[in-house]
Formats: sequence, C-alpha cells, structure tokens
Amino acid sequence: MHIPDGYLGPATYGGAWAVMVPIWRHAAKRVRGTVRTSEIPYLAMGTVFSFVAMMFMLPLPGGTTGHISGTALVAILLGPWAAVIAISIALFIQALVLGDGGVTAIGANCFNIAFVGAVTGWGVYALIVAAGARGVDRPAPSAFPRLAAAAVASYLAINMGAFLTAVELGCQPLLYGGTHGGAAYFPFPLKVAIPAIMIPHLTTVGALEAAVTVLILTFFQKAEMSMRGVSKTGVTVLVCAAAMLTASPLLAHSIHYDVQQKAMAVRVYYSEKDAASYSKYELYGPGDKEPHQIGRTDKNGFVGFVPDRPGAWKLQVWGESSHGFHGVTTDIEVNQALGLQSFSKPLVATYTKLVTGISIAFGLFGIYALWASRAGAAKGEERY
Amino acid sequence: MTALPEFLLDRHPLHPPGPSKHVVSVTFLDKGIHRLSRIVQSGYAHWDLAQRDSVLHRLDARVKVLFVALFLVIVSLKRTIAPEAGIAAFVLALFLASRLDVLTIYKRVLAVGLVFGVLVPFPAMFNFLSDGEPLFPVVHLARPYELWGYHLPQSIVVTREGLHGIAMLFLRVTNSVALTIWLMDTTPFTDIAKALRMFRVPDTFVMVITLSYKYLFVFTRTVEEIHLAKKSRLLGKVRGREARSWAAERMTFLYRKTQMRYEEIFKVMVARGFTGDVKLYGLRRAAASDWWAAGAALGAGVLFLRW
Repeated sequence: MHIPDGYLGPATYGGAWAVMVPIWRHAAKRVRGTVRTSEIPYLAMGTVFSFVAMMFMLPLPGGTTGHISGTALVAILLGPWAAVIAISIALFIQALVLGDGGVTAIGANCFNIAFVGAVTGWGVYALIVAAGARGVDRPAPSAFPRLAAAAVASYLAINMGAFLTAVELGCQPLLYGGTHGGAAYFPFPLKVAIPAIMIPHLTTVGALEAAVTVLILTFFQKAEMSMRGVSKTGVTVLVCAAAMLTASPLLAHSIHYDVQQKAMAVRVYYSEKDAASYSKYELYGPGDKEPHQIGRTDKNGFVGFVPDRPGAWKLQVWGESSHGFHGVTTDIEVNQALGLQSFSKPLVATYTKLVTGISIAFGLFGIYALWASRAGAAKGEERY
Repeated sequence: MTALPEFLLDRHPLHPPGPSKHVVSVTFLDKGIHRLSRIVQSGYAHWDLAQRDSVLHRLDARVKVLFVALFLVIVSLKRTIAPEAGIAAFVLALFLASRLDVLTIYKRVLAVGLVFGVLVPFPAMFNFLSDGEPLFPVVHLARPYELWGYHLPQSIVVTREGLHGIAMLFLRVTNSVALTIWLMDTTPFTDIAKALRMFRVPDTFVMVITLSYKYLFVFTRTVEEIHLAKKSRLLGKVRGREARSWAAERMTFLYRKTQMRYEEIFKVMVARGFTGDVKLYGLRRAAASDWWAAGAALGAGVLFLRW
C-alpha cells in the first residue's frame, strides 16, 4: 500500500504534502499538549514498536502468513495524534532506509496510512466503545465489545487507507493521461486501480489486520494494560468528522510519570566521611501507624521523600557499620507549604557545645589529677 | 565495508509454514527476523558508506538534502525519456564521484525499478487497457470479449504508448530510488534529520526521528533475542493457534519492553542533565565549497528542467 516515487504526478503528491503539513502541525501541537518533552523517547519507542510489529509475520489458517500495518492498533494504544506522528516517522524512515514508499509520495502515504488510518481506526473504536458504555455513569464495556470495536476499527482503517490510495493512483491517467503517448505516471484508471487494490483488502488484508489487532489487544487486556475508556462526550464529538480533529487523544500508557523538584532529603551517616549507605528505613506520616514509605537509603546515605501533609514526620533508620548495629529516629517538622520547618537533631549534635565544654572540663581535671598524683608521689618518695 | 555482526550474516534457508494438520513451523518468525536483519544490514551499510571520504561526502547535509529534494521533483516533472535518461547518467556520475560500490548499489536500484517500474505496470503495455499504436501482436482471440465492463479486443498487441509509459515509469522509479540511496550513502542519518530543520521541521520531530532510527537497531536485536529464546526451547512443531498466540503475546511483551526501555533511557537522560528542553546541535557552518556545490546543483537542476 506504500506508493513509490514516480507513480504520482506533481499535482497529486504536492497536494498531499499541502494537506499533510497542517495535519502534522496540528498533530505536533496536540501531542505537545499531551505528551511532555520527557515522553519524547516514548514516542520514538512507539514509532519503532509499530515499525517492528509490522515485521512480525503471523501464521494464518491455511498455512499462509501475513503482517499488519498496525495503524489502528497504534492509534488505540497511543491516541490518534501521537499515532499520526509515530506512523508518519515510521513511513519516513521506511522510505529512506528501506525504499518502501517514495520520498515525494511521503505526503500521500502519510495521509492514507497515518492520518486516515489513525483517525478512522481510533474514531470507529471510540465510537463503538462509547456506544457500548451508554453513558458516563455506566461502567465501560467488557473485553469482548472492546475487541469487536478494535476489529471493526482496524478493518475499516486499513480499507479506508487502501481506498484513498487506489483513488489517488487511479486518478493519474485522468490527470496526466498520454500527452506524449502512454501514461505519464501510474498507468491504470480508477476502474482498474480500485478493484485491484480493494478486492484483496476487503477480503484478505482487512480480515488479517482485524484478526491480528484483536489478537494483540487480547494480550494487552490480559496483561491489564490500559486502554482508556471513551466518554459520552466523545460520541458527540465523533459524530461529525470535523469534531474528530479536536477530540482529546487517548494516551494509554499504563503508568504516567514526570520529574519534579519537590523531594525532601535526609542524609544519614556514621561519620562525615562514612555514609549510612543502603540502610533500611521506615518513614511515618504525622499520626500514622503504617509506614508512609519504606526502603533503603541510597549510596550516599540519603532518604528522599515527598510529604503530602504538614506535621511531624518520623524517620527510623537502621544501619550496620564496622562498629555494630545502629538505629536512629528523627522527627521532621513539615510546615503548611509542605517545606521543612525543623528537625530533631541527634542528642550529641543538639548539645555539641555543652558536651564539648564538659569534655574540656573533664580533660583539664584529668590533667590536673595526673599532675597532682605525680607531684604527690614525688613528695612521698622524698619522705622515705 | 565494515564487517557486519555475525548474526546478520546467518543465511539459513527459510521455509514457509507447513499447511498440513493445523501445525506450523515457527520458521515463519525467521522471515520476520530476516526482514529485521535486513534493516540492520542497510543501517550498518549506510552508516559505513556515509563515513567514507570524498568531496561529496564532505558536503554539508543541507546542500545534499536540498539537491535530492530538487532532483526528485525534477524527475517527477519530466515527461520524456531523454531527460530522464540524462538524469540517470548524472546520478550514476554522482555515485562514481562518491567512490561508492556502484555495481552493488545498482543491483538494488534495478531490482526496485523492475518491480515497480516494469512488473506492476506490465499490463499497461497491451491494448486492452488503453488504445495505442500497435507494435507487435501477442495473442489473437476468436472474438472480442466484454467482461464486467472491461473490453478485451480480438487482437491483443503491445502498443508504442504502453512501452513508452513503462520505460518512463522504470526510469523515474530507478532515478528516484538512486537519488535516495545516494543521499543515504553519503550522509549520516542524524545529519539528514538535522538538515530537515531547514524546512522548519520542529526540533521535537527531529529528535523523535533521530531517536527512532537509533532505537530501531536496539529493538531489532531485542526481537531477535526473543525469537532465539523461543526457538531454543522448542523440540518440534507447534500448533497454528499456539504460534499465533505466541507471536501476538510477544508483540505485547515488546510493547511493555518499549515502556521499560523508555524509562531506563529517560533516567539516563536526566542523569546526564536533561531538563526537558530539546536542544539539538546544529550542523556546521556552510563552507564556501558548500555554497559552490549548492550553486552547481541549482544550475544542473535548471538545465534538466529546461531540457
């Protein structure tokens, strides 16, 4: 279904580029809004996943094999706009590295496969799932309707893409037919191109796409990987095609995360140069009996945690050094802004000056006692 | 060329799955693995060739990307054989000037050209799809036929227009493929991706393209390992249903692995100071030779356009 270079005339491929550029811009804008910069590697991974998944040859009943285009699958997993970008990039790399599809035809291929495939696949899937949910207050449909929705969506997605490919190719004799004898570009008219492309897609390729998409999603569901449900609003939005462009994308990562500079760090150490590395600890929130956090300190003896409420937090650390087993408890006072207010220092650290003063006094007394005893001993010797 | 890793050179014969008694051999996976290994092979080959030293290798990536884009458009605009043949000769000269292995490269170029330029449009050569001046007859039927709206004439002949169309398509496909391969074999992929910024492609896109290209090789290796792990545990053939389930399950696993790998890579990026801002190093400043080359490319383009 990848159109190579030379099959499309300049008006067709130029038109496809002109259509795709705003679509890419819109997709990039939508993705920037939903996918954080930190998730760019994830998007690249999604691209490669779709690329590699297309390479898996699957055995079909009867002994033949086939592979999927995966557009609807990727759209269901990543959301339509992320899928447009991921599959467009996969097509770009395929065209440059493998020669699958032409460079001038990238616009047309991306329109047929990435855009139409992704939007049709995701739209039909979302529509059926939302219709199955029958309202936001009802539970999302069970696995079977979702899989059926995915099957229909992937079947329609690949066939829509194939149909548009056939139309674009079949229009070439009409647009550029035989000024210098023979067709200048793709030589077959619509009445040949459409059946030649659509018959295999409607019968075999579409069914294969649907079967493989269902098979893979079955395992995704078994693995409890999330496929976000579609709200009733989604149905309304999807009723008209224009509204599909503004529908919120389905980002179906099982776990989201970002990195924030919020943590509070406690350093635990035996001496300034001897950190309590990899020591067990338990952290209790204010008034908690169950630990808020458990684990081990890092290599440098740090415990990092993010307080979720103000009050006195208690940290207990157990560590073993060359001098035996140690345990320490510290109270950390968290203020209303969830910042550090104060913390209880270890006994020696709190009364450092007092301890030092007493130590010096004891030391001076010791020196005096030693001097006095030696002086007394000397006098005694003289008495004998 | 740099020696390829051993696993890429392994060329065991591939057997299609056996259709009998609902049992298939997992060699169907071998096909997928070898398709993937072809990607890695091309990647290594492009990487290796792009590192060579020639005047054309040293040119700025932007100049080469612009040149290829311009010539791809010119190739698509030409409607007669002579200028297409002239462009073919010009591209061949570029390969020779780049000191590349022309024979090996043109085997690939011609293979693609034969499939998409000759085999696919082959029926267009005859008069049952479009009229034209008969050159020589092929089949003479008892009478003309009308089949589901298609007309089959009594005498099926090869037409001049049909041959011209196929010759044009063959030249156009081979020229386009040759230009793309020349770009890939003289320019590192990362430079090509960076050169796209010239067309106002956002940095985010460029970064995704670059990362995708790199991850492709990582994942190809992962898929190969998954396959070998399964293969090493098999004593005989598996049932078709089990094989399908297994392949689908592996894809699911691959997706999870994708997520895990992403998390690892992101941690590595953060550890190296990534703060969320995409900042790509640009290409070097264009030298005088790059400007001369750009001018020459433009001149050649105008010549071919006016031909």
